[in-house]
Amino acid sequence: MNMPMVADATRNLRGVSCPMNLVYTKVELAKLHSGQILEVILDDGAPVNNVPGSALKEGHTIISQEQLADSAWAVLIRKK
Amino acid sequence: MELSEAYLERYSRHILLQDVGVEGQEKLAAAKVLIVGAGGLGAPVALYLAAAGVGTIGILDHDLVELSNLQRQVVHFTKDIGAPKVDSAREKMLAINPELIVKTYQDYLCAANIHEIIAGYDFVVDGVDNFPTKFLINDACVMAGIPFSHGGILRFDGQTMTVLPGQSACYRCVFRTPPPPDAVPTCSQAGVLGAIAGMLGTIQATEALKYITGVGDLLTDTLLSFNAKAMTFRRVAIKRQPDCPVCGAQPTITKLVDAEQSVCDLKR
Repeated sequence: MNMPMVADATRNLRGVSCPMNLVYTKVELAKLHSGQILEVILDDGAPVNNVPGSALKEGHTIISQEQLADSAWAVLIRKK
Repeated sequence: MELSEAYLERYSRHILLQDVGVEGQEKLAAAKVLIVGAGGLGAPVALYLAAAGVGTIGILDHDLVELSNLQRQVVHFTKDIGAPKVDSAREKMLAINPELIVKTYQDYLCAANIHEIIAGYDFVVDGVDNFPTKFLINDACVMAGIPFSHGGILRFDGQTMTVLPGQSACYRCVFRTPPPPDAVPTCSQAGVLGAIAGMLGTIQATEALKYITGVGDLLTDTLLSFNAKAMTFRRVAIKRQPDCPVCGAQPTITKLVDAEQSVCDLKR
């Protein structure tokens, strides 16, 4: 079992398509300090297939991604 | 500050770049760039810097739009013939990006006014068509410590370099003095393939954006030249010269004077 993580900020990006979901993810990450955690809610499909990978490429850490009841995904990102 | 959705969407392709991001876009919004010349080089520079969201852009040119300009000066349209080039350019820049501050200077640049005009700008783009003014821009920017991009085009050829005063080679480190009057023909005498103005101007615009955002390596200590007929690009390494008359250890040029045949003499 993973330790439950508490996000420092959360952003609901349901209904926001690529690439603006990544733009908003980057905006939220820019507001945080290194090591803080952002939770983004991404739609299933292209959003969840792309945004976490892009955040990873920029050096952030993907802590977890979990599918919710409405098929959207809750993704926890630790800022680099 | 909360950024508007429109702002984030307008600049999304910058923000997506890891090297630029939200922070880089904010630097662009806070930046002030002066474009000297609203001609072949100044046109693409003006359009791209406006599109990029450079918050304050100055543009200087004395001339009015002429029919023969339209083959390469893409910021001016047929309807603008007879209008001041700076007004024509400003109109297009604001049409792309209404939130910018565009300052216009319908004037020639000369020893008497250059210090006052360039003061307060973060970066200067040289898009002028004559050697005396290129040297004047170099000398004034070196003295004021303002980074700038040199650029020139003729026929099928272009050349450019970026100067960080006190750090990298300046224009006078490479070319000591302007060539004798009439030794080098102007575009109006020799002709120029219109699209190479875009090739070179977009390199200069890119350098301005790189300088502001701190992205990548500037075209310093390097003279980049191209020939569009062969489509070859050449980089020549250059060095700061200790005996440079303007940026050397013991400069001999310490105040600006208008060179013989300066454009300021052309005033009717």
